[in-house]
Amino acid sequence: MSEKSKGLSKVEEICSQRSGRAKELKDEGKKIMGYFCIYPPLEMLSALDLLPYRILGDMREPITKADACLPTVVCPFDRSALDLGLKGKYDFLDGVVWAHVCEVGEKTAHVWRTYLNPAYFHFIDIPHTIHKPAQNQFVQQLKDFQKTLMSFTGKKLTSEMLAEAINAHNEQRSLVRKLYDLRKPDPPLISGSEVIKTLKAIMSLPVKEGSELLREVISEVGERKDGVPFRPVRLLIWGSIIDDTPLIEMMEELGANVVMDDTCVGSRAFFPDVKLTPDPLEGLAYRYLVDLKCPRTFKESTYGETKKDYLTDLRSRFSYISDYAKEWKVSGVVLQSVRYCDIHGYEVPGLGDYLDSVGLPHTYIEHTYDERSLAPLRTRIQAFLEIIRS
Amino acid sequence: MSYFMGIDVGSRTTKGVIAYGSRAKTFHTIFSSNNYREAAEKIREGLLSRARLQAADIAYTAVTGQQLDNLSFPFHKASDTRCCARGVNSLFPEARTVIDVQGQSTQIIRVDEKGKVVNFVVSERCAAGSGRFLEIIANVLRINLEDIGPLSLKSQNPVAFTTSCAVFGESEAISRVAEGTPKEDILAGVHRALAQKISTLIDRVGFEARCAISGGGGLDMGLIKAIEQELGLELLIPQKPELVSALGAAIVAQESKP
Amino acid sequence: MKDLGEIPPEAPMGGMPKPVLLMSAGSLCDARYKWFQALGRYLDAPVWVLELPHLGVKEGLMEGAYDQAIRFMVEELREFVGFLEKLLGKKMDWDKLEDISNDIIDMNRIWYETNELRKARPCPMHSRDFWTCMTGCLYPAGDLKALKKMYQDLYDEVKYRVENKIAACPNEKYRLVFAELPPWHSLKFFDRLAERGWSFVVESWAYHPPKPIDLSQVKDPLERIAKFTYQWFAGYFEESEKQGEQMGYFGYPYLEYARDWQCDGALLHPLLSCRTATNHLMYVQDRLIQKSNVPSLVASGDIVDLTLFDPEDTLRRAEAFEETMDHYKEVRKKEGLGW
Repeated sequence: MSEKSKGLSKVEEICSQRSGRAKELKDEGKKIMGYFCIYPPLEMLSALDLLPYRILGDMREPITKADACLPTVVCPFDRSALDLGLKGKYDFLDGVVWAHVCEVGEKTAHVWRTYLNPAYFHFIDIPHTIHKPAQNQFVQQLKDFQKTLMSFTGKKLTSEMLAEAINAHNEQRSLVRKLYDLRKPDPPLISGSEVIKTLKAIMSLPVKEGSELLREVISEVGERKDGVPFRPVRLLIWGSIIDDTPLIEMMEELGANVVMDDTCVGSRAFFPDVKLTPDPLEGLAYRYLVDLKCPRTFKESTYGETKKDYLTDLRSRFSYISDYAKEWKVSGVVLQSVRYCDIHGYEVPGLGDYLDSVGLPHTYIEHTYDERSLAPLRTRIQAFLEIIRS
Repeated sequence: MSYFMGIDVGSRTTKGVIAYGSRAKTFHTIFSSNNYREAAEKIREGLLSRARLQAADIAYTAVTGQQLDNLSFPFHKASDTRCCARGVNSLFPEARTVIDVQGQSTQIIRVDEKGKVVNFVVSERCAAGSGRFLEIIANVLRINLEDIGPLSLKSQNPVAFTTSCAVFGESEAISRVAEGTPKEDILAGVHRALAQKISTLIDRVGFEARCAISGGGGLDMGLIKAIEQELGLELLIPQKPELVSALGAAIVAQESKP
Repeated sequence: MKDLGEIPPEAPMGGMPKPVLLMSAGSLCDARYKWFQALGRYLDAPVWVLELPHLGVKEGLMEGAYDQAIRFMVEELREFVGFLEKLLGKKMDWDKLEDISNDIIDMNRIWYETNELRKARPCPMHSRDFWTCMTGCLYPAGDLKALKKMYQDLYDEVKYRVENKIAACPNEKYRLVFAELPPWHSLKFFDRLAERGWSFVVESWAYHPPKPIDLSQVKDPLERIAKFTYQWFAGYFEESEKQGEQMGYFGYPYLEYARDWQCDGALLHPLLSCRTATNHLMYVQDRLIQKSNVPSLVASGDIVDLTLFDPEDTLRRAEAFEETMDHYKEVRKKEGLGW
């Protein structure tokens, strides 16, 4: 990496060769641990001096090898990630940690383990509810994870080490929230695509390097004069993973700034902090199981409620989205999902009802996680933007 | 002395062969014109008159391709996989893997030295894995099916199709045309995408040299080149690849004569 | 938006009554609980999601993992009982629960043993009968004593057939395993394959009862229920680990089926609109051929869109697949696989 590039140009450089830094560190003897989805607690990896490296797909690369292992009717993001793995693009990983985020994710984990057979692999089960026993179970799951990590690294993972890593990751999270504050002005100081690239970059770096990069981006963006142009519509984008920029760029071209997101290379992965608890695993378990907002977890307004009211239920599940909308002065919400994502798909009608109830315009789009399949969505988005403007 | 007849009723064309032993004596092709039963009857008449034979000279017939019942003559309903395996084996006894690219689907067949089916896999029932994808793209590019191969071979810079879906492939092709991408590069891109699909199918049943191609796809030199590049080998190419299944059906007729 | 939740006037027997509770489970597929959550649009009934841990094979065999999984399930069940008491305003009848759970466990044991009998050559009971009979165990309802007797009678009948070598499929030429959801709309399809000598001797793991374990020493009925249910997964972990297989349920059981029921082939039925019944099938196909030299025939279909299932297409391929099964029978013989 060149010395002089700073901030956003450094982000560009990292994204153009995302594994570059990881491979450099690997040569220096650091172990690289791939993780899938946002549920494996990264603090446990960082604490053991492992580099957590997010396994992503590539919507610009045709899926070929994965066609022999996963049928075309399942999540194209999972298929793409597996495809890259089968093509050797993740061969530099020393180990992989996977969590039971969704059913297809679960099976993909076992397929990955079978065909790629990394030196270390751990599968963390995640309960479907946030019931008290489920929280305990998740703590126990993390204890088992800790055991295999320690035997893999040959190091003891103490509470002090964990606390230090938790602080480092919380610090990074607060920097991400600062970065998101820069999206609040109109026009925003940083574009939606720049945010995705920045977050993608820090998901490939050791936590402290990532935070350093965030500081550079924040100070550069705060000072620049020729940042993001004014666009008449401010959008929030919700849904399944977006790990590349074409969809956001299309919205920008059509006259909207994407100023907020609820996706997992976005606020969903970074906003909640971990609380330091006497047993740090408890704080971690709570943050990852209860505080993370992926619809894969069943949540309800009151635990064990015997009377249910639809609107109350919706409010309890989605009010944070209208809070985002207020804070980031959003004029419309784009609900998007990759095709065949059951957990996001089932969420859409209820979320739509909720947004209606608070008067936020919304539209729903589905795509196949490949760059070219986005083109037909152009007119849909255009029409949506016209509705908002009128 | 016995003659056997094989009829392959395809979605576009119907092919027929009269064989003596495992050698083709007469062959004939007509358009299916969406009436498969009529096509089967017609091709039989055509074959008999070309071979100057009477119906009684044909010991038995096997029909493959579209599923048909109640034809005017006795016949065996044969699996196209089995027919294709036998047909290729009679032409290339050394072939152990067959890539059969048809209009509606593509199948990979592993065969043994006797032409028996060792294993096989059929592409998913979607246009992207078959000759249909090429038809769709040819339609977008406004070129004839026969011109696809020669034009594709001229490509210096095949486009990379990111989608594996024919519907999106079509819109991808349209936007490429709008961007001014040369037709040959689009075609070569489609050929490459198909070749990759074929390679993945082969991953599922395993591969053993040598490898032959059959079906209408075997007429397309652009596709052949793409497959050869993808797999890094030279294909065995029948002179009339589209007739292989009909020839195989004639052999199956011999095997299954009641 | 609630007006869409009306019971259609032409519904049989007046339709289902409005539920007081939507009980779902996070087991196997996400649609189970997400769908019930989404039903909130039409029904104000509360939703309870039952938990079932989904551990990997290696993780499931870690020290203490089994006990922890059971503890978790028992605690969850206890919470659920508390919830039900609050919802219904009455106390749990523990004696009745004891009785019901014992009947269900027992019924499943008999049903398991009935299916074990199908290992015989010729196979005494065909898949069609399996699909007709599995509902009693999977969705136990009505008079459990009567149901248990039905299973006992069935067992006796199948046993009689084994002893007298009565085949479910005359001229059993090929023994097959079927996965996953059957084409309910075209069960006759199996008869047509039976005419060719294809005998379906075992099928879809998720519809088979768990391997019986001795639960007579377990005092707490909730713990008995937990152990019985979790056995569905855990019952395969040790063998799976021994064989170096990573997909302990949905994957590995098919290897065991193919071996123990001596299958010549597998018929896989992927569905467009059911991911859970589909996404592992290519993997299963690969494991079966790699590990056991058992080939698979894929017949895609759907349970919603019936036009996607083409029985003619599969029947057409049957002839070629018989050659494939013949070929691998020889291969297995050469490799000393024993069937």
